[in-house]
Amino acid sequence: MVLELVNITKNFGNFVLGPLNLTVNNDVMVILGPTGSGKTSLINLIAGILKPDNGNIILNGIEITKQPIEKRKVGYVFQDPSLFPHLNVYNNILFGLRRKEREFKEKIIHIKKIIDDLDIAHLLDRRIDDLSGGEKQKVSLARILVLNPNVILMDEPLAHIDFLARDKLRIELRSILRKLQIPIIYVTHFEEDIYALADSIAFLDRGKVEESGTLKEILNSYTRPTSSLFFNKIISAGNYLTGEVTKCQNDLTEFKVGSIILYTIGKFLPKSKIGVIVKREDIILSKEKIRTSARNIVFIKIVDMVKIDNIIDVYLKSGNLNLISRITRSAAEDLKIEIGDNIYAVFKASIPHPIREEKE
Amino acid sequence: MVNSTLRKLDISGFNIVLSVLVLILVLYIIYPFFGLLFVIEPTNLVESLKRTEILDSVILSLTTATISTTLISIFGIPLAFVIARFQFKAKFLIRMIVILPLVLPPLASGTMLLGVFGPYSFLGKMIPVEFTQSFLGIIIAQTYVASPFLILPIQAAFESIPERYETVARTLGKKKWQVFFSVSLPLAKIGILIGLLMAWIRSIGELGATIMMAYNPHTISIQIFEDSAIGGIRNSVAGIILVIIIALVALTIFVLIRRQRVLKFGW
Repeated sequence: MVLELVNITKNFGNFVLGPLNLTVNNDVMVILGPTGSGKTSLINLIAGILKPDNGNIILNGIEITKQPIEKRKVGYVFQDPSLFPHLNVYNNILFGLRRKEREFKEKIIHIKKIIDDLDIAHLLDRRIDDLSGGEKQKVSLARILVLNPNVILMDEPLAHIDFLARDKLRIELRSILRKLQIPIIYVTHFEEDIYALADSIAFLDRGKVEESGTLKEILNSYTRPTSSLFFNKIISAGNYLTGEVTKCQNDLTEFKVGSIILYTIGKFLPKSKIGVIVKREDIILSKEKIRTSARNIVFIKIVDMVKIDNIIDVYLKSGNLNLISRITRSAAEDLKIEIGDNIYAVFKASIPHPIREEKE
Repeated sequence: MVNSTLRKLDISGFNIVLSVLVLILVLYIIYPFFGLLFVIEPTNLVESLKRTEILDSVILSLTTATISTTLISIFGIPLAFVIARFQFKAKFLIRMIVILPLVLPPLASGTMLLGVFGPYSFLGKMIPVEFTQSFLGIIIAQTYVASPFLILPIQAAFESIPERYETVARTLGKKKWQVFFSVSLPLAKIGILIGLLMAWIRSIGELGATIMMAYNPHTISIQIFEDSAIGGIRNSVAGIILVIIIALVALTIFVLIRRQRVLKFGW
């Protein structure tokens, strides 16, 4: 499946969305943007709740721009789970199915599998009022998945869920969404959602796509001065590293990025792939090799230095490992570093923040 | 919890004034029922309950009220839905028209209905059906007068349902009419039941318009009117007792419905 938006525009009077051009393949595209940037309008256009003034929405080569909502097979998870209060959990899940369909053997097996995957079997007889926020959102996802949608749209699905449940649900979402192999658009303003779920990112501002790319491209890119503090914050979280776990002992995990060995805290299976975030501010630069408690010490080359007011982003490269360290201007002057120098980059094992584990 | 306990114990001037006002009105409403106790004579009552015209009129009222309520609901539920869900220029006008029968004195409504349905009216001459002094006449009077009692609470019920439920149902593959029957109607259930009940009880109590349209056959309201005109309260007590029983049944149903969920009334 491929979802394409071609030159989509929609005029709301005081606000114009587009022209938008986006392609979403069988993975998760996270849409970011400040309030009022048109994120929800964008997915409402794809769902058919809004009609575009111009442009085409194409799903797998078929134009769906003029199809009515119910024909599009677009699964929409709203910010508010909007489960039907007059039905119990199970009947909410079955809502979109026709009566006949509910009795097909394959369908029953499919429904059961979804219920098991989402771990909601114990909720089926409950009334909607008796569910927690996280449970409601899982049921609303199940209600969509039983219909085998061609596309899934999610509008800040974790926004109304308390933070403990949110972290747990986010991890479950990741494994469920990855298996689907359909285009998924996920609107959010949580950084954690981006790191945990995004395969690609599109940043929307005042109705237009300002930036887009894969997670790795965006996080490891040079800081481009954009007008949005929010997006700058995302980019400058910086240093998204993926590596293969080589060893795990006493919660200390050793993983390899290219040929370089790094350490993080947490339990991971050897040979699994992990993704970690290392914040720019957390990388210390040192001209000499120092004996330190920090587990991660990498001898690395300075390839670029970008000055922003009184701070400097130092771009470092060694083999497959790219790092950005953010230091103050005075620190850079003290160290007398220049592009082309080799230097030690130092950070503790507790610094790389594991954000996902991908078992192959 | 704490708040409500405090409120109960609080003896302020304001609360005393409120209590007195409430008490006066409540006593005023139930006072006539005590009056009824003094005129009931068991032997007489049994006698008058046996009168065929009393039973016939009760049956006629129950039948016509049920038919009228059904008729109003067939047109009124969609109308309430349209007012609640759609935006259009004539909406304000339609809302005003809907409450007309509520603000008009029923006698005036009845006279106007007689004007257009009477034997010498255009319709009366064109169509060879007895619109007045007939079963049909009662239905016409009741549907006209009772329609706002059905439409207004149902409209309020539709308005209180967030539209997103309907949108969600569309994204789950349901057509508009399927959404109406599987989401809008069930979610407005309590408002609809209350609307039906109110229109029904209003139809049973209907007198003003019915007197003009169909004095005969007698509905229970007209029977009570006639009995009391002839012999005062003692003569009409049987009919009154019967309508009180009907009202109590309706009230019980009303309470049972209300208990299910608090529903916002009004516009």
